[in-house]
Amino acid sequence: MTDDPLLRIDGLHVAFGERSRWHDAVRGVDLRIHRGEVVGLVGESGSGKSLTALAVMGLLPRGAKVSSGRVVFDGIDLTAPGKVERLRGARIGMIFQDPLSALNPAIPVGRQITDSLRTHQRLGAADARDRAEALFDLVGIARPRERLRAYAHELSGGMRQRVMTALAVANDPELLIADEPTTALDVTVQAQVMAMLDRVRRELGIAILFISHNLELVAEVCDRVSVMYAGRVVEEAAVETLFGRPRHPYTRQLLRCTPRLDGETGPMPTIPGLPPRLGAVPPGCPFAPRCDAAFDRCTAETPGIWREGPHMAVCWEALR
Amino acid sequence: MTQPLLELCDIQKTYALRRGLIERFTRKVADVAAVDGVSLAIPPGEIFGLVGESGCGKSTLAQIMVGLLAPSDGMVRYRGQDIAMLTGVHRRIYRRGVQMVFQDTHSSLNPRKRIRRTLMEALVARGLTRAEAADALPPLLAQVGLDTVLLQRLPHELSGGQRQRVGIARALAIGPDVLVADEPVSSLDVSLQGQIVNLLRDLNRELGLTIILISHDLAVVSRICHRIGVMSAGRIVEEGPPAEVLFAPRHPYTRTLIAAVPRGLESRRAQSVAIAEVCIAGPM
Amino acid sequence: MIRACGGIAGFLGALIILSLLIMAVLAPWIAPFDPLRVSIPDQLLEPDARFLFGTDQSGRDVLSRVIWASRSSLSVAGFAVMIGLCLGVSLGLAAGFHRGTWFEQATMRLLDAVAAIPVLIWAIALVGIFGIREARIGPFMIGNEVKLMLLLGLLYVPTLARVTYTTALSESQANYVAARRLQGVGSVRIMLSDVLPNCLSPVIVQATLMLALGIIIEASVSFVGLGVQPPTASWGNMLADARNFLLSGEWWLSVFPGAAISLTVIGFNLLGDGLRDRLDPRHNITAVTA
Repeated sequence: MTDDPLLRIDGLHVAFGERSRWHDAVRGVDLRIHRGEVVGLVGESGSGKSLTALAVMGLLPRGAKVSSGRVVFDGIDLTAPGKVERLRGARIGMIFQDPLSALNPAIPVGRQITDSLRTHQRLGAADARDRAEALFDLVGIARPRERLRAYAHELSGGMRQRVMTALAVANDPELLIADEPTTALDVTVQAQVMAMLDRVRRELGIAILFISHNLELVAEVCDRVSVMYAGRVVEEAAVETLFGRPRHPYTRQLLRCTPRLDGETGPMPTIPGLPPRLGAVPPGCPFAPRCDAAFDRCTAETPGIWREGPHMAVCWEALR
Repeated sequence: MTQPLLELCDIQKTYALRRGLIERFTRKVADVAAVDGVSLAIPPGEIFGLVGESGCGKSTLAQIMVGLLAPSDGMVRYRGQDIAMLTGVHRRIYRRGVQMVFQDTHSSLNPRKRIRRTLMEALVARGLTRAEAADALPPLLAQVGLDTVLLQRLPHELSGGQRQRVGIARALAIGPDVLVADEPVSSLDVSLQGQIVNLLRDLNRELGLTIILISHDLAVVSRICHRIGVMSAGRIVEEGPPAEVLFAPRHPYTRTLIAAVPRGLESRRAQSVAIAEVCIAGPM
Repeated sequence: MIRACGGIAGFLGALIILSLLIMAVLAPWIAPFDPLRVSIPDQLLEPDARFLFGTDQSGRDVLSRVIWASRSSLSVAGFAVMIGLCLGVSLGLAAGFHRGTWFEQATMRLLDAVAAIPVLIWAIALVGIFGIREARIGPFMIGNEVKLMLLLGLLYVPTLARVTYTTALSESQANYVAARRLQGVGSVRIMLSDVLPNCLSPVIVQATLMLALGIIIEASVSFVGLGVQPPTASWGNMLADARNFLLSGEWWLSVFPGAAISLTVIGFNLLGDGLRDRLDPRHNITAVTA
C-alpha cells in the first residue's frame, strides 16, 4: 500500500514504576495499521501487548507512562496531551476482555448507545433509536427492540460483548481496538463473537487491532500479525506467511504448543522456562534462554532485523 | 474389572433460588439443579477428563467429589464406601486420599504465607513432625519441578505457572491417590499450559495418581486423558475414550463444542462465512 | 520508617501520637505543677514565663492540667478500642466464616440494630441513665471513666465487627481456605491462622480512626458533665469550665485543651490514612506484576 497508514506506532516505550525506579514493559514497538486492515497482536501475558493498546488509547493504568515513541493516528499525534480523548469513542472504538466493567450498570444498554449517538452525531431521539436497533442487528442480537431496554447485568457474557461492540462501532470509527475480547468466554460463545466481529468488519470496512494470546484465533480474522515477546515485536508478517513459514523460533515454538484437536496424545509440546520478569530482561535476545535454536551470538548481542518484503523477524538465527 | 477408586452414583445438587422474605412464605421456592443426575466410575490410575462450559456444573461436581459440598441426592463412594457414612479414621483416609488443585492461582494460596509455610502446613496436616516435614520439602518441590529458592517467596512474587505448581505440590503433600484438578491451566498462557498438563501426566505415570482433569478446553483434555466425559446442563451427555469423542461424537452438544475450537487458517479458508451465519442464528 | 507509616503524613501522625503517649506516661515528671493545686492568688493569669499556658479560675496551671488530662483522654479511647477489638473482631470473624447460618444472621442483625443509633447519642444516653456516681472497680481507674470505657467499647463492637465480617466473608470463600479444609484442619484453626491475618489490615485502620472518635466522644461527654468528673482533668471538662470565660477574654482556658483535642484527632486520622495505604500486601506490587 502506498498511502499513509491509519495508525502508526514508532518506537513506543511504556515504563512502569514509581519515583526513580522505572522499568520498560514495552521496549520499542513499531506497528502500522492501514485502513480496513485487521492486524493481530499476539503474545503471552506480560509481553506488553495490552499495554501497547492502552497506550494508543491513552488509558494506561496508574504507575505506567509512555516514556518515548510516537503514536500517530491519521496524521494526529496521539501522545500529545488532549488529542486522544477527542478521538476515543468517535474515530477509535474499543472492546475489552471484561465488557461488564465497561458498561454502565445503572443505565439500559440501549440508552448508552443512543446517548453516544446523540452526543457525537447530534441525532434526534427517534433517529438514534433506529440506528441503535440497526447496530444491534449488525452485531447479531435478536429482538433488538427488547434488548435495548435491558441492563448490562441481565445479559450473558457473549451478549455483553456484542453490546460493547455495537457501542464501539456506533459512531463509525475508522479503527476498532479489541483487547482479548473472547478470553473470558466459553469456546462456543467465543466462536459466535468471532463470527460477529468478522461480520462487523466486512460490513463496515473498519480497521481492527486484534489482541490475543491465542494464535489460532488470530489466524481466523487477521490479515497481518505481529508477535510480541518481552515488550518488543519479534516477528511480523502476513498471516499465511507467519503460519506457513515462521522465521522466529518463538513463533515456531508458540505455534507448536497451541493446543489442537488433532487427536494426538502424549506430552504436550511446551516452551521451557518462563518469560523474563519486568526489569530483568537478559542482554542479547530476551528469548535466547528458552530458545531451541539459540547460539552464542544470541545471548551476547541484541538481535539484528531480518527482512523479506513485508516479513520481518528480529532474530540472529533467521539472519544466518 | 477392578473396583473403582472413586464412584459417583446419581449425584444431584440443587440450589434454592434466592427470594424475598414474603415470597419465601407464599410460594414454593423453585430449585435450580447445578448437577442433575451424574454417575461416574473412576478406576485407579486413570486420567478422566471432564469437559464443559461455564455453568454446566463441572465445578460443583468437583467440590462434591472432594467433599467440600454435600450432594442434595445420590452417593459418592471412595474405595467402595459411601463417604457420607465414613467416620473417624476412615473419614480421615478419604479426606487425605482425595485432594484438589484450583483454577485461580491467586486465591488458592494464602497471600500472607510464604511458600515454605504453605507446604509445611500441608505436610504437618498429613501427620508428619516438623523435622520430617522439613526433610520432605526438597523432594516434594523436585516432584513438581520447582526450585527450593522459591520457598522464601510470597505467592504474589511467583508467576502463574509457579503458583500452580505450588498448588499441586500442596495437594501432593497430603499423599492423595485421587487428584481433582479444576481448570488447572485455563488461567495460564499457552506456552505454560503444556508444562502443567505434562506435570499432571507425569504424576499419573510415575505415582499412579488417579486424576480428574476438569477443563473447558477439549484440546487440552483430549491430549492426556484416558477417558473423557462431556458435561452440559448438569448432566454427562457423552463419555468415552478421546479418539471416539473427538472423531465420532454422538451427542450434538459434543459436535458444537468441537466445531467451536478455533482452527486458525483452516477455518478461515473454508467455512468462516457458513459458520458465522449459523452461529449468529444459534442460541446464546 | 516513613514508608512503614504510609508516607510523610502517616509518619507525622505516628510522631504526634507517640509524643502524646510519652507525655501521658511521664505526666507526673514533666508537668511543672500539681494539676489539682488550687491557688487563689494565681487566679486567671495570662500565659507568662511561670505559667506557660496561664491559670484557670481556681489558679490551677493550665499546662499541667492539659498534660494530666491526656492520661484520661487517651486511656478512655485506648481501652474502649481494645474492648471493641476483642469482641468485634471475634464476632465478625465467626459470622463471616459461618456464612449462611443462623449465627451469622442473628449476630449481624443485632449489631446492625445497635449501629443504627450514632455512638455519641448512645454514649450520652447511657451515661445519663446509669448516672455519674463513682464506683470503685480497679486500683487505677475510678468511677465514670471506666464506665465510659466499657460503654464506648461496646458501642465500637458493631463497626469493628462489620469491617471484620466483610473481609472475613470474602476471604473465607478463597480457595486457600478450601485447601485447608481438604487437609482436614479444623474450623477454628483455619479462622485464626488463615482468615484472621488476612482481615486485619482494614480493622487496624478502622481502630486507629476510632481512637480519634473516642477522644472526641470522651471530650463531648465530659463537656456536658457526664464524663470524667472534676476535679480530675480531662480536655472535655476543661473546655466545659472555660465556657464561662469565652466572652470575657480569657482565651487560654479554651484554646489549649481545644488544640490538644484537635492535634490528637488529626494525629490518629493521619496515621489511620497512612496505614490504609500501607497495609495491603497486594497493594504495593500491582506495578511490578502488571
